[in-house]
This record gives sequence, structure tokens and C-alpha cells, in this order.
Amino acid sequence: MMDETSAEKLGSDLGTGSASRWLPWIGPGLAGFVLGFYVVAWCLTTADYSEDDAYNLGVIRRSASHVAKYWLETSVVSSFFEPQTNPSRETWHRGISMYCNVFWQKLIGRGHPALERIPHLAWVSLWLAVAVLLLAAAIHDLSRQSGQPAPVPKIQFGWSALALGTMLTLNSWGFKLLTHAFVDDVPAGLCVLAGVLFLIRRGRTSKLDSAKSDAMMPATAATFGVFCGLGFLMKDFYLLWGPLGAAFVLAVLVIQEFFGETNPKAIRRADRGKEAGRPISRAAHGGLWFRWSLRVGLFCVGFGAMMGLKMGWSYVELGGVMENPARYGANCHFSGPRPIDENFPFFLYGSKAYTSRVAMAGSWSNAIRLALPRACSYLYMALSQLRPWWMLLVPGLGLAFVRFKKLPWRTRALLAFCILSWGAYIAFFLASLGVAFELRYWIVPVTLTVVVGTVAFLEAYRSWDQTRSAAKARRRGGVTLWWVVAGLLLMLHGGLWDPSLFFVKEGRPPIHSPDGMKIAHAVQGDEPRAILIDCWGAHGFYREYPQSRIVAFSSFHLPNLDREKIDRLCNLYGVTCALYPIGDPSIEHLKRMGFSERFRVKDDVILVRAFQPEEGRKP
Amino acid sequence: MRLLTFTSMAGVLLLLACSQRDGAAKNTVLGGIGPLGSRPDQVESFLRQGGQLWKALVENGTLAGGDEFWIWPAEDVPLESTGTPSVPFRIHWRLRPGKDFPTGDIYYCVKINATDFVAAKLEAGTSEGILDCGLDTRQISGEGVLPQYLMILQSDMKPASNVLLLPVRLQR
Repeated sequence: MMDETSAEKLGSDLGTGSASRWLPWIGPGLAGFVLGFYVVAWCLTTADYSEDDAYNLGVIRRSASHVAKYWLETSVVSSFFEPQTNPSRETWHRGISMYCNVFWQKLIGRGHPALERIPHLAWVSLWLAVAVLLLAAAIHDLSRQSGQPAPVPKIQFGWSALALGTMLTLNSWGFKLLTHAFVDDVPAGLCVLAGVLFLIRRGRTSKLDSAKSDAMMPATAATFGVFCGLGFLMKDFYLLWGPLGAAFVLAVLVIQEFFGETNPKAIRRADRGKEAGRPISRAAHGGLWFRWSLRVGLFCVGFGAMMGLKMGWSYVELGGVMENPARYGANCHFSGPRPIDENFPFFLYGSKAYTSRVAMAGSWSNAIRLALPRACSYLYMALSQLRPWWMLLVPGLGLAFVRFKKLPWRTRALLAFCILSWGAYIAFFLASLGVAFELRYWIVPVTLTVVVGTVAFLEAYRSWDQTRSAAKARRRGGVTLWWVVAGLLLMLHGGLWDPSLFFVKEGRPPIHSPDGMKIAHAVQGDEPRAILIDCWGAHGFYREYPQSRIVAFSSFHLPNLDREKIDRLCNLYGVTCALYPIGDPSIEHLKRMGFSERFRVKDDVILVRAFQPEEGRKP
Repeated sequence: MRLLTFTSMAGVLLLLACSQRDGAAKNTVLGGIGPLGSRPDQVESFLRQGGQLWKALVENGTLAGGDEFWIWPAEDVPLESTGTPSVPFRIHWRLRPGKDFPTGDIYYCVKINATDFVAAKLEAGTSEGILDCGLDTRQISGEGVLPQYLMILQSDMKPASNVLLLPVRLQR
């Protein structure tokens, strides 16, 4: 319910006539419609051929087909640490969202490219909705706490939500997220952001600012843990959100305890303690460590329950709790002395070096010496591309600097979340545990920062607009506004330096021509025959021909294999055909190793080889 | 009124003349080969006879290749590169009597050694037509007579038409 003052204010803002009520909404309404149209169009119609997206679509299509033996099945061999069965259970991208996609694919059947992207549209819509709700929570608190006489007018909230949606979608980073319809980053990020929303909204009441309403309940911490754990159920990378989520809980507790709003319970407790002769701090924060430990512990329980679920599921299906080959891939990628990388065919050389970084590099010092420059360069690449987004922290920090005492704990918490998440992600990637240049991994820090930046812009505008009468307040509002303008200029500078960041880019086309892939698939023949394709082209091929068995082998390593190793590789996986782009050095090498050229289609070469299944070959 | 009638008649005559001219142009497109009859023996004899520069491959007294289509060049000229990356040429194709249009994808292939160079894709729909093809001079160069045919995309990958032998002179 809106109180009288609010109603009067809103009435004076919007006018009382019916036309003057809706006229101000024409602008944001139309802009929102256009934004929504683009979001839906990109989500549903823009095909993307990036490696992971194409591969995941192939896995989904195969798993939904009648040939699949497992719930989540792949028939692409893309790592060569050990010989593996083909087809096999999917290990790279095992997550709930993948199962949702398989289920949906079974419902609609093959041949509906727009329909099969509906789950992605749902995830994206929920993600944007959660971002807007985070903004609403922060703005609501600001309007109560910063001494403003009225809540934020709805029209201002409308424009702010529109700005938020635009910063999250209408740019090259957003375009990648919207068009990568089959990767698991949006659903995983959504889970964590929904948890953050739950954490900061829990117990909020519009009329009472009692301690009970704002204090974090133990169940809230546990539920936040479940949300973060759901992120891990969606994507293995979100294991990071175990420690990071605990840090979030701790940050909220610290902010509430030491920088929170007036806490009547704490005051009463302090008064009682003072009367009893106890030190004020101890009396006010009696049982502090217990309460904090309990909440952090319960977060871990919630997260651990979800983690246990996924690990148990992996153990039952794969025989290990964490069977993602990415862990070996990271060892090779970061600490492998070139030419050894994650595509190196270890089993053909009888090497087990991929199992540890020390074995890979020879010593710890070598491993660090090799990994650090690579991690730093990837991080630099990512941060420079994400400049317009992390620079939004500047107005957020400006707001905190100028009006820290006036900020409600939720805004402070959001700001702390931003700093913690950027810091944790940077530390994670610097530790060479993942590749930073995959910008979709950064969805949570970017979303939180855009929310905080939008709040800062709005608050600066309002304080400047509404406190013009008082000189002191005007000065304060002006300083805030200058901070925000400085942040905006920095952000624009980031964009102007590399304008492509603000321009939408086209999706990547497939590497091989449709006719080349079609002919190669026909030449390959039915199972158990397999096709050998270069790494980059294999995933585009797989999304079109998921029933096919594929060996995705790097063109970088193939020319180094001798006849014995090529024969072993091909016989093991039943390779009868190879597809490489014209000019690839693998083509001439394969011809020397017993393949013969059969077709040339546009820029593709198709080679064939007699089918020679190896004795005792795994199916 | 008279002027209107006169103008209309003149317009009709002009249209008729243009249509005749189009017909002549179509015949010219066939390179003096002329319109073929629809009887199979007429086409077979025409293909056996060949042209000045092209001929159809004959083995054991019959046309070599598959029995789904007949093909012959739309123009009796050698395939020569003119400095462009692609050498365009046109092939006349016809579905043989009693045959339905095949369901698989159909490609026009030029064979060099053991490799089929795909020069065009035949779209389904009609029973006769002219196919625009192109040879990529970045991949093919030299001089010689190259066998060419239509191929249906299936596991055995055999020709689906008679095999044409066309002289080719290509430079990178």
C-alpha cells in the first residue's frame, strides 16, 4: 500500500489525467518492446557455431534420438588422454540444463531450429527478470533510506530497468550470451543470481525496519547455499561458488552487524550488557561467532547437499565424483610445454603426463612459469573486453564513497558482492583453473555490477534533482553526480577505445560448407564407421549430423603422427573418412599415410580409407 | 480509337517478335545443338554422335555411367580460364523416360584422377533444365579431357548420368 505522501508525490509526478498517466510510458514502453523483440529474435533465430554451443546441440540431438543408449550421450572423441568408447556418456557438459534441453527436444522432435531454442529463451527471460528484481530491491531500499520523501517514481524505475536490460543485452557480450543457446552459463548464472536475490530480499518488509526483518535467518543461508549448489548442478565451473557464496554470506553478516541500519535488538542487548557491566561491543555482538559460524555452516550444508547430488550422480554413471576431462585439459593447456596441449594424443605416445602439472612441466617452478603468463594474457584479454562493464563499479564506488552512511545494507551488500565476485573470478583465472577469455563465464559479476551501476546512476540523478533547495544537499548531490559522470565517461572510453564491444557481432559461420559436410557424411557410411575431422570443424559437423561418430583431431598434431600411430588411431575408432579444409597440412600427411582423396567441395577435401576395425576394439 | 487499336496491335506484334527472339536465343544457348526430340533413341544417338569438342563416353556399345539422367553441354566450347578464380559453364540435363526424380542430393562432378570435384548441385523439381556449373581454378589447373557426370549422394557414389568428356584448359 502506498502512503499519502507517496501518492501525492506520484500524482504530482505523473499528473492526474488519464492521458498524462500513460503518456510518459510511451518512450520506455516502445523502447522496451524493441529491446524485447531483439532479445527474442536473437535467442530464437540466430544460429551460433561456436565450439561449445555446436557441440552441445549435437549432444542434445543425439541424446534425444532413438540411437542413444544413455540419457546424455556423445559420439565425438575430442580428448585423447586415454582410449575411450565411442559413443559414450557425456562428461564435458553434464548439467541439469542439458537434460532439460534433451527432454524438450524429445517433445518437439527434430527439424524445429527455433523451437528447440525455447528453453534458452526461458533461461534468458528469467535471468533478465532476476536482474530487474535485484534492481527493484536496491532501489526500494535506497528510496527509504536516503532521506527521500517518496519512493522512486515508477517511470524512473521503468527507465532504469530498460537501461539495465540494454547494458546486459544490446552489445557484443550480451549478443554472445543470447545466441549461445545450448551452453549452460545462463541457467547456472541465473541460479546464483536468484540466490543473491533471495539472500538480500529475505525478510524485507515495507513498513517495519526491525532487526528481525533484516537479520539473516539460518534458513536463508542454507537456501542460498542450495541456489549456489544448483548453479554447480548446471555447470561444473560453479564449484567456485562454494567458497565465494560462503564469502557472500559472511559479507552480509559483517555488513549487517557493523555497518547495518539501527538494530533495536542489538541496542537493547547492549543496554542490558552495559547495565550488567559487560563491554559494549561484546554485549552488542554477543554470540557473534556462533551466529556467523552457524550461517556459514548452513550455507555449506545447502551447497554440499547439491554438490553431493551431482557427485553421486557422476559416481554412479562415470565411476568417479569429478570426471570432467576439463581438469586434465587445464593441466595441459596451462602447464604443457608446447607442442603439448589439451589436444595432444597422450595415449598414442603412452604418456600419463596429463594427470598432473608437475609431471607435465617437469617441476612446480616450470609449471608456474608456463601457466602464469598464459593465465595473465587470457585475463588481460577478458578484462579489456569487459571494460565497459567493470568500469560501472566506478559510479557504484562513488556512491558508496559519498553517501556510505546513508546507504542501506542491501546496497552495501550488492557492492560488496560485486567486489568479491570480480576478485574471486580474477583469482580463479589467475590460478589458471580456467580460461578467462570465455566471457560468458563472467555473467554473475557482470550482472551484479550492471545492477549496482544502474542504482548509482539513478541515485545520483535523484539526489541532484530533489535536493536543489538545500545548499549542502545540493553539494552532496553534485559530488555524487560527478562521480557517476566520471564512471560513465570511463565506460564510454572503454567502448570508444574498441567500439566493437558496443556493436553486435554476427554469429560465426560453420567452418565446413553444408555440401562438404553432407558428402562427407555420405562417404563415411553408417556406424560403426567414424569420420576424422579437424577440431574446429568437428563440432559444426556434429550439430548437423549427431548420429555420426566423430574423431575431432587437431590439425596441429596430426602431421606429427607416423603411420603406426595413424593406423592405431583410425582402427581404434573405425575411421573411414576424413574432412579437412583445403590447405590444411593434414591432407597431404593423410595421403602419405594411406588415405586417398575422394571429393573436393568448395573449400573442403574429403579423404577415404578402408574400414579396418581393430581386434577387440571398444564399441 | 484508331490510334489505340493500332498501338495495341503493334504491341502484340512486338511481344510476338520478342517471344520468337527468346526462342531463338534458347536455341543459341544450346550451341547449335538444336532442340532434341523426346524419343530416347534420338537422344542416345545424339549423345553417341557428340559434338565438335565434346563426346559421351561409350563402353561396350552403350553409354557409360548411370541410367537416371542424360547430360550434354549447353555450348560446344572448351572450358578455358579467363583469369577469374572460377570458370563458368552450363550443362543441359534431362531425366530419362520412366524415371522419377531421385530423392537424394545430386551433384555435378568433374573427375580428376580419383577425386570428384563438385561443380554444381542439381535442385530437384523438373524433368529437364540447364545447370550452371563452375570450376575453381585455385584447385584445378592444366590441360586435358575430363570426365564429368551427375552423381546421386548415396553410399556407392556411382554416376547417375552418362559420362561426358569435355576438353579443359585451365590456368591458375
